Amino acid sequence: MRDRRALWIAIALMTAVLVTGYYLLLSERDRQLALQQTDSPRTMDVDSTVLESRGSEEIQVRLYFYNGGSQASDSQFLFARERTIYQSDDPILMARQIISELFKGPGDDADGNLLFPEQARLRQLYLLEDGTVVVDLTYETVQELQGIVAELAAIRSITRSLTDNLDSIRRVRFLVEGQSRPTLAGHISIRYPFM
Amino acid sequence: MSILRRMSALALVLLTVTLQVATVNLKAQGLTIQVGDRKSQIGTRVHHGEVYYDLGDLAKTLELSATELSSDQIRVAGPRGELHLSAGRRLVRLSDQYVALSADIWRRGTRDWYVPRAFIEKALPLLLDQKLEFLSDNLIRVEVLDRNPVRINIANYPDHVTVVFQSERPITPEVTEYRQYIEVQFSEFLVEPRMSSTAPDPNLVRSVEFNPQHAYGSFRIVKGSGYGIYREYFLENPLRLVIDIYGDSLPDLVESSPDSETTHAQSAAPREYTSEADPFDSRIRGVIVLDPGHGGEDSGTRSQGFTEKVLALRLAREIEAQLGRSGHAVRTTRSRDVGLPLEQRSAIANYFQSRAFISLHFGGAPSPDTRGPVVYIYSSTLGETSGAGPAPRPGSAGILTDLTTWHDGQNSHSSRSQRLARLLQDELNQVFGTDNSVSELPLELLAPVQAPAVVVEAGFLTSPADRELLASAQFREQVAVAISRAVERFLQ
Repeated sequence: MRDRRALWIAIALMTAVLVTGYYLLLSERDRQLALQQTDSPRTMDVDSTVLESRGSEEIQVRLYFYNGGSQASDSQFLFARERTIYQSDDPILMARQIISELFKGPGDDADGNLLFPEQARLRQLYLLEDGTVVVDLTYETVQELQGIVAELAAIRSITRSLTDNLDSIRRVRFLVEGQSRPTLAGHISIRYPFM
Repeated sequence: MSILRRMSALALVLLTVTLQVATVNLKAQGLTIQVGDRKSQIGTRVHHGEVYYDLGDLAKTLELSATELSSDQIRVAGPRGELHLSAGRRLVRLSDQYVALSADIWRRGTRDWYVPRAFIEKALPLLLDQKLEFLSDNLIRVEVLDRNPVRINIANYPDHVTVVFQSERPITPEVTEYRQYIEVQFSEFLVEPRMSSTAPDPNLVRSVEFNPQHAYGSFRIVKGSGYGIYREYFLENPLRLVIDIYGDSLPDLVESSPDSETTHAQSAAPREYTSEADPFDSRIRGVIVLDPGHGGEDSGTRSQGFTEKVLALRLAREIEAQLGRSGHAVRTTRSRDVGLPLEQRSAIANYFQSRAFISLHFGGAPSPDTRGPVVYIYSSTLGETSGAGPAPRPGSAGILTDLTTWHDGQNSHSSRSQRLARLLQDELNQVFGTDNSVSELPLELLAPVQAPAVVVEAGFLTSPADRELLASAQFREQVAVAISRAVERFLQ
């Protein structure tokens, strides 16, 4: 009687294992198929989603994008675009949204001037007590920055968009893949913060 | 109770097996090959834990002919050659060469042949005149490659051999020197070689060979025992790449003094920066150091067949030749396609106690309208009118007033760097017909250089207008002349 009960338990266990395995197989297959069908995976805008779900108010920010030209001193080097992000008391959440919006580019009318690649990602963002924000970018974000002008545009675009919109941010420092590097892509020194 | 334990153990084993099977099955989900708008499924099977693909399906989709030679041999023929496959072996033969795969070829039953993924990645491209692009693990796109007939001409001279590559398509090939040979790599189109009937002087060049194993086709100039050095340049109408191979008996290739007269060929040949140069030799002091930007794996800006590292090296050679003819001693940080860290380039400038350090680049910008030459000098700020720039950094030399810290090399040379930059910018603006001005940036390369130092971007490869100009060898020579003239004016 006892043996028979043990047998039933074992059969139940095996059935559970088989069902779980089959379920895992099917769900992983679906996930792979879904990935295949998505030509360009979109950025998960986590910060905006979290703030939206909390019912945060929206706020207009002024973002700066590369306009053209090669002269850093040229006032036309960047141009401004208004964007809407979610208001937050946490400047880190605001800064993350701003960078996320910058990565999307200036919009249809300036497609040719798209600075960051589609796979551009912010790894992490820290705010130090002295008002320095540390922007940690992925390697994919900077590897396509070809030439001095592209590097300059990336640094200036991020720096100005953050310092102009957020009072608590006074200067911007860059890391790539969590590491301090001499340059973003081989030209302009990023050893010291920008402001 | 013991039965229960045994059964539980069995259940765990089953769970492990199930998960493994699930993983392998996932890998074997099938492969889709897309040719134009047509998508074809390739049958897959798992064998010894490896995913295999149906060779019959592959041959049919890619229009290859597969002929079984015996029970364990099959031949697959395509437009570029034939592959011989043997069941149970992982070496695939292509004429007299072998391609090693990571798994064996599998013959299933009496009729079906299956190949591992490595076969698709490594062996199949050698047969096809199409490009296989792996969009994901399970999707490959096949793109038709247009052909590019390349004619090779060889001429023997008393002191050198000239090999000319005449491409029908306007492609700038990349030249890379290896120990045994010089490789000329074409891109974008499939090379159709038209080899020369003239045999080269075997002392300098053992042979000129076509290498079909390169994705687009490349050529190898195999060095002879008397090989010493080469130089490359372009001729136009029609566009030709010329490579001159010299013996190792050329005098004065490593060293040149400002007093010595050099012939064009000697000065044009690339000189090596070698440790053999005596650091205490007064002749190496006060040379002009040219720094061809990028190199090796770092190609710099690439746009429409133009590659920054190649153009920069070529420009450096041309300037070196011109300044050499005027009696100046010139050194280059690199004379071939190698990558150098930024600090090593700066260190070379400091080692030679340079009279001028010129880093040669070509620009890239997100906007195609950005064009023309830009000369950069070092500044600790970004040069923005609104005040943005690097924040003040911690103290530099401090009380060690007679020493210079590594990143403060430019501090005492900024005004002379500015003068050199203005001269270069003026000369280059005239050649390009532009009105650009000198830009000041915190450039990592220039900061440590204890000499007048600039970065020259001689046009933007992302600008169609600049590309059109730079495609002409005559124009590139004008650029070199302009830079040489500015340097000479600076040194006067």
